[in-house]
Amino acid sequence: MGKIYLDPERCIGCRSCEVACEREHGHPRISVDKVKDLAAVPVYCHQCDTAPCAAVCYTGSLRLDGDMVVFDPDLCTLCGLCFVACPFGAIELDSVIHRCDLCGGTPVCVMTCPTEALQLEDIDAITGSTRSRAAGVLAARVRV
Amino acid sequence: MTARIPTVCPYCAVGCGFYITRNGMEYMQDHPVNEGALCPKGNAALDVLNHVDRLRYPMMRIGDDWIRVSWSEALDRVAEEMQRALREKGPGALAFLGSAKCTNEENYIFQKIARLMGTNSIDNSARRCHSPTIIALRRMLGTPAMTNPVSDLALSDCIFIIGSNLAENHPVVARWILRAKDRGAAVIVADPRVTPTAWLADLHLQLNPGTDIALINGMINVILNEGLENSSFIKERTSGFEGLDLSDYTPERVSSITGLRAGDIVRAARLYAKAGASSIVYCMGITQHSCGTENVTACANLALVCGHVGRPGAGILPLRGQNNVQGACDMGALADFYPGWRSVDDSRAIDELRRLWNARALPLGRGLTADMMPEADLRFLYVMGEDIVNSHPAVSRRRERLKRGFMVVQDIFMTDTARIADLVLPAAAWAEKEGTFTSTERRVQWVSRAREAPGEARPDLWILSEVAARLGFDLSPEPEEVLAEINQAVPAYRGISRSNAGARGGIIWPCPHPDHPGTPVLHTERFSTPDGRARISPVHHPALERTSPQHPLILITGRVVLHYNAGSMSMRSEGLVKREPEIRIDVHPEDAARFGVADGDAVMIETRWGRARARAKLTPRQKRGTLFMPFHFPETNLVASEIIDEKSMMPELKVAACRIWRAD
Amino acid sequence: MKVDERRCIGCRACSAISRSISISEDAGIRSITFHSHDESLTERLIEACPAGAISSGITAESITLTFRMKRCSVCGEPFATEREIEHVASLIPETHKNWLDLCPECRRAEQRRSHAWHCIRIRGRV
Repeated sequence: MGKIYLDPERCIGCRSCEVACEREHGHPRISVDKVKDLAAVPVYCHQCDTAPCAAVCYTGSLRLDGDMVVFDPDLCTLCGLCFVACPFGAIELDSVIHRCDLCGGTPVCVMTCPTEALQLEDIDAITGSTRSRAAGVLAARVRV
Repeated sequence: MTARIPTVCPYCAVGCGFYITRNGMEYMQDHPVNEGALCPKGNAALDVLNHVDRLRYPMMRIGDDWIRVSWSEALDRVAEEMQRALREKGPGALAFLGSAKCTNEENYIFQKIARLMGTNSIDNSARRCHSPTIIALRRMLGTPAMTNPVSDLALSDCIFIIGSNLAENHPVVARWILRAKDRGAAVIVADPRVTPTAWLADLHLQLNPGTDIALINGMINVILNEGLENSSFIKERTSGFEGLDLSDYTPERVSSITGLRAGDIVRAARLYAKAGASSIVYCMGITQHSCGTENVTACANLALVCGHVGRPGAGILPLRGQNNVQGACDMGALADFYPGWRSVDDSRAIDELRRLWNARALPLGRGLTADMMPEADLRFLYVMGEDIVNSHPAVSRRRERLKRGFMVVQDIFMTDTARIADLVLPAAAWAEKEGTFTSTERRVQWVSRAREAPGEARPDLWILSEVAARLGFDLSPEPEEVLAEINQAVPAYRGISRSNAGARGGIIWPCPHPDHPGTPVLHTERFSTPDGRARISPVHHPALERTSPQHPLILITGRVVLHYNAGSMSMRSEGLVKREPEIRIDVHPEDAARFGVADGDAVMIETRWGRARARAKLTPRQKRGTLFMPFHFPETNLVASEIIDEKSMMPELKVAACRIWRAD
Repeated sequence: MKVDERRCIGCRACSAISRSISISEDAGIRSITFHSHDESLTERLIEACPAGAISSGITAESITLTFRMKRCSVCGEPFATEREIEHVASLIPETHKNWLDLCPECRRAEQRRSHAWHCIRIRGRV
């Protein structure tokens, strides 16, 4: 399955992804903020290949499964170590753990993003399309 | 009952589609405009439907209390009061405010009632939004509307965005602009502020507020000097070019007026003129000025001189605000127009309607616009779906005067306007009734009922037909029947029915007959003026509100992405309010330092019209010498200007001299 | 149950299981108080403790363990106990762990800055 990729040039900071995520899950698992009022970036779970959250999870509640990090709430002790361990601050904790799980396959943030800044793709497809898009723009400008 | 019902977002005029399901919403990935996407307000749209604040019963005011009354008592009272006012003081004592959020059928019936009662005093929120567009584009192009669909922007080679922060206020439009950029299109943004829209620009023209005509005239000056105009288009398709003498608007002079570099003005002109297909996108930064009508005229002049109208990717795109503001205007809920854009001064055109309606006579001459209503000697005011007390600064300041006569408010929430009424009627929200809505790109879409209205709330159309019956008019409560009459009353809607409006993406007017596919791009062969030519009209940079030692800064008011207009809907959405809870004022750090203000301080702001309190947010993206306040919060009405564009009755909302200081 | 204060890292697991264990934070110190309680939860508590600090046995009185919290090097807010941070650092494989000095909010801000730096450079010039 693909992961969520962000094109920061397309994000307009509307926070639609946050509002949709919160509506679907009760608590958002994506967090948007502006940087110097010149760009906006959503932050969410990267499904890291060597996930520190899974490394510290001693019950196996958070663990690696293929190229994703999966979460089993029944095994969670609410110790909060994953909250401390995530390098991106993508895990929040109150009475439960809040972390992006790609909505089980069709992430609402990707579907709702007005500018297609968030895409669900596998890594090769995304780098391929990013390169060809940039090349296309260059070519168009040169032609003109 | 089907699992999911297609609907159209009730917020802005982009007209995004989605589905309402039993428990929530689903995205509509095959909708031609939004392709499944939604902005944060669209994502929160359902919050309005089951909200605890929803009006459930008709209520009459007795002193300071509200008592519940039956529908029959309420409706009888509306008719009685209207007839009494008519009898005692004549039709000049009646006024109506239609709703840019109600359906076409509802607005059509509402204005019909007003006119059958003898008055043209019916208006809607377009007055404070695109009234200059209506006046100027109707005069110049013949049709007062966007010339190309939103998705066409993906085909443009150059997009000139002026006075529009679409990334916040029409986010889905940004989707199509980014697609154009993917193809190498150049984007120019003219705005005094660095907004998320300006983030997308290849060239950002951070001009002084209110200097748009100078900029555009400067661009045309360059275009003519360098021979970049489209001479054959000018010759074959326009008139009035000879009257265009913009020799005064040299890049140097324009630079001193706008504060822009002369080189940037030249660059913008060349980019726009030389591109294969260029579009102009504009919004409140162009219209909400005392020279709003002239501003729109300047935009159209630029497009006409370069021949960038009437082709895919080349057009003039005023982004309208409300989900049905285009429709409310097409239906004639305006003091200066009857349905189908018939001027209130055109007795011949009005006679067509008189015959259709079987009326003895219909009123001529412009009626009261919203801003004029508090000062008029009214005995009866009927407000449908508009929180006028919060959406117009002049009305806001004089709200008590609206109550001189009998005031009826028909709405979904107890807005501040409803609070001062004598009678409040609970209406169904958009997803609780049926009918058509017309988006900014002239797209007419049928919306089906997906939920039950709460309590005894009823569709506006039912309420109006009941009132009409008590006045002696037989007006149908069935949306399809009303649409059938609209087919005869509004030429552009002649072929529109539930069938084509109900298809995915509806149908774009003009649609002259039922099998017509609709008309996404206008003016491809001729303009809709009497001679088929577009009218180029010279306009000039006006005298502006000046700063003074007492008021050394300029206040700009506008919108933010998380809220909507006067906030009766968005302020009731927890997900939106918690992300944008209070009024802020954007201040450049150097101005803040000058006035002793730190980030997060409570400040007072004062214009010559009043004062208000807000929280300061320091940002280098605000242009030095200017401040920004969102008008979703009532505080902004306290300071907004009352200077008006006399042609369109649009208030000046973008330029007001002001000062700030720290509140204690 | 008995708690070994040399092993306890001050995490939130046991207080989430038993109402007799309370957790609070004040002025950069996290305090966990073990009141005398229902012994039937001891098995679960032993299993849930990441540091193996809980064992069976009787403790007559309440005890309170206090832990100094780490303050974020950017905003100064306390966000985890120092022992939690050491515990996490010892388990994660990466060599670069500077982000452990930051609270999650500041880590998000840093992630945003680094992801958008190119955009910001271009837009800052336009």
